[in-house]
Amino acid sequence: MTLESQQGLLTLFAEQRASLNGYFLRRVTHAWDAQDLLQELYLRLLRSVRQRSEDIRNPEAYLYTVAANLLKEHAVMQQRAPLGSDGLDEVIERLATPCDAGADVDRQLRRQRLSQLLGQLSPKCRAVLVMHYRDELGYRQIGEQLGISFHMVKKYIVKALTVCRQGMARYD
Amino acid sequence: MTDSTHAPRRTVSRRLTEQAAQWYLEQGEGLGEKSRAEFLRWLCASPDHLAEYLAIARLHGDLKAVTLAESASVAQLIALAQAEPSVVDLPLARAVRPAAPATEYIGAGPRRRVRLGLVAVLLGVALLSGAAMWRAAADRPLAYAATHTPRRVTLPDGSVVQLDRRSTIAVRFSARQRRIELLQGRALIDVGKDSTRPLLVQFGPNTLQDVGTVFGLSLGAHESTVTVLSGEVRVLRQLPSSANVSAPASSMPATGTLAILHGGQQAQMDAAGELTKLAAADLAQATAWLPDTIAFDHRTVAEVARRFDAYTSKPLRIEDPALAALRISGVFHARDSEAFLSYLQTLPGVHVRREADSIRVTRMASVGSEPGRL
Repeated sequence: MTLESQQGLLTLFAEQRASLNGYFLRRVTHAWDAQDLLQELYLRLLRSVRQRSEDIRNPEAYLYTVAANLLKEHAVMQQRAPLGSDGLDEVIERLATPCDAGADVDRQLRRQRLSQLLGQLSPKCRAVLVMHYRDELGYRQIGEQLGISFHMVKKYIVKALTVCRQGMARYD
Repeated sequence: MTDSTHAPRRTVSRRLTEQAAQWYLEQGEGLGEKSRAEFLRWLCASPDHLAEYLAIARLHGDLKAVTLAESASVAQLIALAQAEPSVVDLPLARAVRPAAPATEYIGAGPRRRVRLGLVAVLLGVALLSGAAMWRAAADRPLAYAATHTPRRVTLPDGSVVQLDRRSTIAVRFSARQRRIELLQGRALIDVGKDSTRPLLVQFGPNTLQDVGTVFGLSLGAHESTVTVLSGEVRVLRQLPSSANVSAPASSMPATGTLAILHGGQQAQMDAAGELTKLAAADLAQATAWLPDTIAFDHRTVAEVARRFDAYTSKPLRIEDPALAALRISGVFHARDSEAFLSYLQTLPGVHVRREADSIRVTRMASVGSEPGRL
């Protein structure tokens, strides 16, 4: 283990534990498990990327695969029923859209808060975000409707995601 | 976006969130080869990046659901947007774009260049290599760390490690050997019994060898301390440098024994790994950083009893298998195993025997025929 990755692990817990913990917590029962999984996921990603970064065609899918394998392995270790029934695709689907994984007690509350944050966005920001997520319009289409450039649309989405995420981080 | 009422929690940096959001969008459009490498570099630069990326992924899922509840039509949204005083750059105003947040993430974030034609979603390949990675990772070291509060981890062999704040261990188990390395801070290790695989614990320049004990380790810049609570631990000089925990298990240490410690004893080593002090341990001091309570929910008596062993030089031995397997819930003061023993003694037929190096808890064979004892 390199010095960097050790340092990295520590920073993870110093600064960022809540969100990633929350992410895993809905899949595993104990808080301890979640901490372990977070660390493990990072270490594995680090290792595999070092070894074969050229082969990774879709980094995001790859990330979810590593996470899915880790969760499956964990389920075996804990002698719990593995996630879902079978097929990595399903697991990835669940990881990629975490909020849809199972009945979630705090999901309702989280979305309520998010909805409040959405209301606080500037009209333009909110229009871009809603058109993108609800109406599934592409950046170009949104740009044409609002008379702004493709890049500005993306910029608005990044801004909206940032505002929402920062607002939600207070609750995580 | 700061919230003074939540002062103790450090807020996520806005810049990091912006980067994660940008990468999330780029990822959705498919990345070119160069951007892929850049994205992986960013993702692996720090666990924070990974965490924030996943947080954005979750937010993304939530936004889909939340925006569906938005009742304004596209036309209404556009009308509202057009009515907004244009303080940010519209295309016409680009020449006078304000320097502020727009330029903040240039360079750090993904490239603006988007190759829409190059959507390289080779999920199948990713899946296969991921599965191979899983197998290859099986004998790689695991790392555990604690930051704000001490934490307790159970290793695959059943060993239980308490980690103090700001402490990290690396763990490597093979078919022949178990190795743990204390990288920083303090740890208390309750070793799972496995006679076929000796346990070696590395800390600084020293190594410990042990079979079925409870001991604490503290690694400082100038000295390190081993405190044995129960059982026996052999303190060795350093291993050959090639044989650290992260290297494949090769040979057993061929180095000399510095000390053999028994329950209640403590050894101190200097930065060079030489023994500087060997004395009776102050257990209360050595375990002061451990949590004060032991809370458990529906755990076996054996498991709970074992948790007390981290605090005392007299381990609790639950000798009746049925009693050991009994599941209980509750909270006890960790430094007062007497309360726990008293509780056990309220169970029918349970008997406590105090011996020199352990406390044995037994149960009468004919429990049913002895009603109303006490």
